[in-house]
Amino acid sequence: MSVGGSAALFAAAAAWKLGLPGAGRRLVAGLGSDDEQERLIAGMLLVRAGERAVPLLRGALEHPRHLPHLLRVIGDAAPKAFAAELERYAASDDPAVRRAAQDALRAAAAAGTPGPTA
Amino acid sequence: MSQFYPTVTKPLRGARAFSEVSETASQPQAAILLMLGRQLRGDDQALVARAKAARSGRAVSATGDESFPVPQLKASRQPLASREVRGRAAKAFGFSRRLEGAALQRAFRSSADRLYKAPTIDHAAELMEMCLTHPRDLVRIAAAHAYLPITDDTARCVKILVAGLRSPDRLEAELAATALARVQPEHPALKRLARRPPARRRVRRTPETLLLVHGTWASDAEWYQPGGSFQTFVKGLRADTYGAADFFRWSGGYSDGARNQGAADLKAWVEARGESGLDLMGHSHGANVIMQATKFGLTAGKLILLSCPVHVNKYMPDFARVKKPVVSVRVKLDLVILADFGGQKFKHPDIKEIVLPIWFDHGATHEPAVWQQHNVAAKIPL
Repeated sequence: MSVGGSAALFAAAAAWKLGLPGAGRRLVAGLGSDDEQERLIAGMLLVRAGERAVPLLRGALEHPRHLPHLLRVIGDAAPKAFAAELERYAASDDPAVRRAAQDALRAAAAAGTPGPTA
Repeated sequence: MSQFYPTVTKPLRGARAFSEVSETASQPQAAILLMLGRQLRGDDQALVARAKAARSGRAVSATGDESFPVPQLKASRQPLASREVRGRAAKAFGFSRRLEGAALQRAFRSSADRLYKAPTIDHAAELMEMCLTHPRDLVRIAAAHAYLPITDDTARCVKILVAGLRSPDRLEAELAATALARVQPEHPALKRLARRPPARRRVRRTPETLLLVHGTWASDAEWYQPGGSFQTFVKGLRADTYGAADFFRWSGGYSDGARNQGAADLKAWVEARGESGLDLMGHSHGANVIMQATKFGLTAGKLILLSCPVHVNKYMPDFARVKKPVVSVRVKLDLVILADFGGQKFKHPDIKEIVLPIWFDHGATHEPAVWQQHNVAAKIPL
């Protein structure tokens, strides 16, 4: 776990919010980090950005470094914008990619519902 | 196999074994103390004599392993005054019960150095006396057993052994039981142990189960799956940890809706298997899925929350459906929880918080090494 890497992601999220697109790319790069905690933090910060993250995530999908994780994040960040891609990957030959896309679709379907008796 | 102490392949040897206070060093320290005790009790001579009587003298060795040297002492049953021994240790090594950290390690090492250079019963007694207050239970138990033949304060040693019987670690409990059975076979604590139905969990009509639940985007993580790193470790502590191929997984989605669906799925999963009342351990938002499932009507046993982001407005257990207290294990200033905007700690009388002396690392609470190093299992207890 890299504390410095995680802290840089928080800084990037703040800078991106202020309008620096390069900082957003730093967050996307974090999705492909070898550090699990960095991947998680980058994903959470992108999901919190919602639709604003779509162009960055679309770019990431063209050259994915950690495709299963990217698909899971996409499923929470902007499932409607990536519905076709998620459906396509849900039939992937790669079981890790297939499971991730299927999980993303399940999560996306559940996200709009309040949950039973909740 | 011990749950607390790692497998040692290259033990610290000689006086160096006492140069640190750690799980790794505890086993060689205990071994040295126990071998000193054997010599003081004259066990080795008795062993050889029994073997010779059975015409199997060659099948046993009275001496230890030469690659693991232990000072040689003569058998003795002459009790030494514990207070005087303590006084000598204080004078020679600055030892006191309040000593800690590097100063404590220096005191242990100095005492061991002296014993290895000049192996006398007095020097052995000083090291044993000091080890009666060692921070690690295993070393305390070994010291109590070894010291019994030569101390006038046998009550103190017996007290340590009796306390050791209650250890959640099998190695510590077995060592304490074996030692106590040797010196006081009629001790009531041993009788209570003997009366306890063996393998109680296995003979229950409704078997208990412990289930691990993953967190956000972690449904494919290896650590919680059967055969995974943490699942295997926990199974060593709780044989009834769920390990079948149809283990529970939820989408791992990062939204309230996904967690609610995960909670409903968890309840359905439990009911389909007749596992109502099972114990649940969840990491990150997996812990919130567990709590939400109790709100949806799931009856559980113990709830163990690992690095759980605190959102009390949304996720709290239905305390009427779980065993109290709920236990929450976490690190200091968890960075992922920071990104999640969650609270870092619960403040609820029915939730016991265990904060490990680790900073920032969200995944640390499902690391077997962290559980071993910080004796997490004993703090919960599982």
